[in-house]
Amino acid sequence: MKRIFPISLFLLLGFFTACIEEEEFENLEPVNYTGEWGAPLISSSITFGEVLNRYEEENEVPVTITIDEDNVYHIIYKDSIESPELETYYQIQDIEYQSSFGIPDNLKTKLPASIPFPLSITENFDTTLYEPMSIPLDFDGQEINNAELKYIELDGGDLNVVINSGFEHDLELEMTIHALVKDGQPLVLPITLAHSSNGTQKTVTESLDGYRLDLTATGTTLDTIQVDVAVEFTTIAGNSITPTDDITIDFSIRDLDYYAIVGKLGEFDIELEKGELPIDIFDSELENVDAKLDEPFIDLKFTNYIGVPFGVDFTELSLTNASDERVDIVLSDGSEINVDYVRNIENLGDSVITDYNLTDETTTNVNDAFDIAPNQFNYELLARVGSDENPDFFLHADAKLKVLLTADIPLSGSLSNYEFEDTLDIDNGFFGDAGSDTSLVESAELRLFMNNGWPITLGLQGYFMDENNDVVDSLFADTEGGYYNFIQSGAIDDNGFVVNPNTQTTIIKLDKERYNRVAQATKLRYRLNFNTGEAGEKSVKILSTYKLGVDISGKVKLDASLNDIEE
Amino acid sequence: MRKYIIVCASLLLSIMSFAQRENTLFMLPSLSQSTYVNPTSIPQHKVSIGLPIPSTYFHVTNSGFSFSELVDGNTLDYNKLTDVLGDDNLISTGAQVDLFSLRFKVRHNYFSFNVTEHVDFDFSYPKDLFGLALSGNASYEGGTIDLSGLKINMSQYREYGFGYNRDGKRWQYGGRVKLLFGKANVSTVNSDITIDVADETLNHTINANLQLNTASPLPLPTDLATLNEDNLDSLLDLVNEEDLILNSQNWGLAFDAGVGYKFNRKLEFSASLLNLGFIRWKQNARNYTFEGDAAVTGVDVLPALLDNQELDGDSIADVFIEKSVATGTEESYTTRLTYQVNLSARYQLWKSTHVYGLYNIMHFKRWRGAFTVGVSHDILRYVSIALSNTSYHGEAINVGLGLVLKPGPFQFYIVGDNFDSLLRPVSPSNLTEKTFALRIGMNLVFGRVMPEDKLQTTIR
Repeated sequence: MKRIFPISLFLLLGFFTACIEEEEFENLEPVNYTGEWGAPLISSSITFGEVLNRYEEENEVPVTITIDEDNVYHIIYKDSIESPELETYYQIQDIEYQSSFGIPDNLKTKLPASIPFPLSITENFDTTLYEPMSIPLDFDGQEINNAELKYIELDGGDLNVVINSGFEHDLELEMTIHALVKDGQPLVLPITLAHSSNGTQKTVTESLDGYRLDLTATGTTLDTIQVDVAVEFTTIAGNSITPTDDITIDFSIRDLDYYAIVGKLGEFDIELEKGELPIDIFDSELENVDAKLDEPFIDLKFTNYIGVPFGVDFTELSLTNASDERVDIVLSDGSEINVDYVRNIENLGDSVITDYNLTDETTTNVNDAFDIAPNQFNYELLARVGSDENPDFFLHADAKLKVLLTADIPLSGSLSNYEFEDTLDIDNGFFGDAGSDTSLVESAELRLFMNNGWPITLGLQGYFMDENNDVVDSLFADTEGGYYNFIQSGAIDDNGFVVNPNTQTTIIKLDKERYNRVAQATKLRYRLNFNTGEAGEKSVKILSTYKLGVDISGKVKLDASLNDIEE
Repeated sequence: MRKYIIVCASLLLSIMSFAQRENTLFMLPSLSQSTYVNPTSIPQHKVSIGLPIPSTYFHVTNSGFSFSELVDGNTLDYNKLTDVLGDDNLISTGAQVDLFSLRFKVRHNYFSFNVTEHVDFDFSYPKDLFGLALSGNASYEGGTIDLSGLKINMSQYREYGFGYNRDGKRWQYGGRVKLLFGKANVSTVNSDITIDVADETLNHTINANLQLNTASPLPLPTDLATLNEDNLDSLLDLVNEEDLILNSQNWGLAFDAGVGYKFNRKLEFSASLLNLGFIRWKQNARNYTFEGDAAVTGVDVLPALLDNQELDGDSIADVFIEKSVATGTEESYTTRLTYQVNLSARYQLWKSTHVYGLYNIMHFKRWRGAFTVGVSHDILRYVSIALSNTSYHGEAINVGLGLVLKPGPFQFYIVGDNFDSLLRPVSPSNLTEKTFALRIGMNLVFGRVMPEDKLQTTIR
């Protein structure tokens, strides 16, 4: 019994008293961690159709994308300029004339020189005044020549008639102004002049809103105002009648506003503000670019709201690019382009479009002008009115001239040496924090898989730079002409269509040393070189279904002690 | 310091014994706790009372590898894991605390009652889980990371056990009915997960068919995507200790049953079935289904650039949750206990010395067997000792020891499997164990069942 407990205690302690070889554990050295981790970084694809749809929806410059019967895309830029409403420029000055008339001769013989008391005689006589005149017109301050008007529809203005009578007798006048017609009836003004020894004056004013100023004298003449005056003459006993007694009428039409003018409208020029149409697909610095578009289309549509035809002189018609190169659009013989005849409307309120296509390469140099990859079309023009003399031409007050310019850029052609260079700040380091410990990384690998169904070749080179702008490494070691073509054009047939996508794999390996250099870089200067087709030599066509697939994956192999990982 | 952490972590993973597999305890029938592994065990005392302190059982298992397999001289080469791991590996750990136990004899009948708190964690993992961590996903390029078999069952529950056994001339019968009350559970079903890693692009395609069930006082949202740090804190505020301790919403039932046969005075056989039962989880039950294919590819940069959108890459976890998780449901679910079958034989070598043979199989995902031979010896009525060896998980030698001391009414005990490494110098190359289990505690015992000179321990 006495031995049992010590023995048992010994056994119990035996469970826990096995010798621990602490030194062996202390000397145990874990191997470095050498796992290799990878991840898909980019997996993306995009069709040309998607690009163009976004471009159409979101571009600052409004564009329209269309597809022609050959499935070729067209980017259509439009711009318009228009003249102000014509009443701003085409203006009628005040019309004034004066006419005098006395007692007609047949009446003079009937009347005594002096009217005896208590005799009072009443007689009537009429006179008609035809006044051919040039209606005073000007266009933006310049006199309009060779205008002969038929009528003017008025929506404002005042008629002012001042009648002076030299008779010492009472007069009842009824002026019928046939030149002013409202609701088919001429304007009639009854005017009473009471006798006075010093003559009598009477002024009558009438608003002309709603009147037509008919300048035909109710016939076929132009620029003529007809006024009939009927006079009832009542003598005053004791007063004399002299042969020189007369009636003077000062007739003026002032402050005219019109809404329509009909007749020979004269000669005037409408100058439109300069138009500039951005063509932003080429909106880059393209110093050495060689571009060739297949049949770019430039079209001018003149919308005429005026009932008179006109011709157009272009004071500027040119293309310029981002490098300020400029090519004037001219006829193939080098002469300036003018439009001889822009049609007029037939009815008030209509509009008529005259289309003028600049594109025909047999007549203009538009095709060649696009070789500079222009980013802007510049145009300025003068509309010349008055070459015809038709008395039925017309204009209305709010009529104007509108010019719509359409530049239709077919995505068909070639482009080469489109180069772009920029520097990215990578302050945080290419792989994260610049300056951080990169010793955990044994190697890294960046893999680019391109499946290119676009007819483009994209060359790239990048240079990693440190804070002093010293190049520490480059993106690609082997380049041709300074670029590595990491996107190669799909195979193109004779018609310019991609028949087979190009698949290309590029692997960028970074050993430990190179990884460390790149990791310390704070800037990446990169250059892009863009060519259509294989080297920009083939004309290519863009289809909506062309697809570019990009897959980029990266792997990093670690070699680190557990202490390194902990830190 | 880090080195020690690594070593200790590795040790923890490399020692173990399978879930509640206590083969040495089987050889100590003087302990009332032996009925937990052998329902037909006939005690030596009329009354046995177990107290919560320190009546505790702890076990940890890692079937995949032992620490020594990673050691090469003075080098700890964890890359060897990919060589030594099997296709299906298990980490299991757990603890039992007897809050109270009582066993007493009435004529030839023995009645028992126990209240035991269980915490179990079983994690089954495939070889590729470590392969992925150690080699990185790049090593699977063009292949598949197979995480099928990734299974977890984490439970806390309380057991109220009512036992009975009877000692006959030839036959012994025993059994226990166990009322179970679950406190918390996280478990998976249908855990098929593979990740295809594409050649060159390294695009990952996750193919998942997994259901994760949870039940706890924590009312988790049905939509996991809405769970974040903030609302988790507010959910935790809703939980109190009373919910955890007294929760009776998740009830279950389990049985132990056994039968023994005395072939003659020296040779006995027994067979038993343990832990055949279930728990029905109802409290805040949530079922999260991860099903379908989800692709993890690179950033779709080109349309994003066109639209001037910020580039945002999703992590694998983001994609997995976003694309695979259906809105969770709130269906109750059932988990089964890890049941075992014991077949044993006992032979009385000398008066107080017995030799044992025990074949134990248990089921977690699949049947897992172990064979144990051992010897027990009683020294008077004060000491019982047992020595065993168990072969399992491809390991031939796993030494177990048991010691029971009985000064007066006190019965102190310590029983464990896989103690052999502690009986020899503990060095990196000697840590060959994959399991470790230890039961330690104290009972109060009263009244010998048989006179000392006639004391016989029997295999039940």
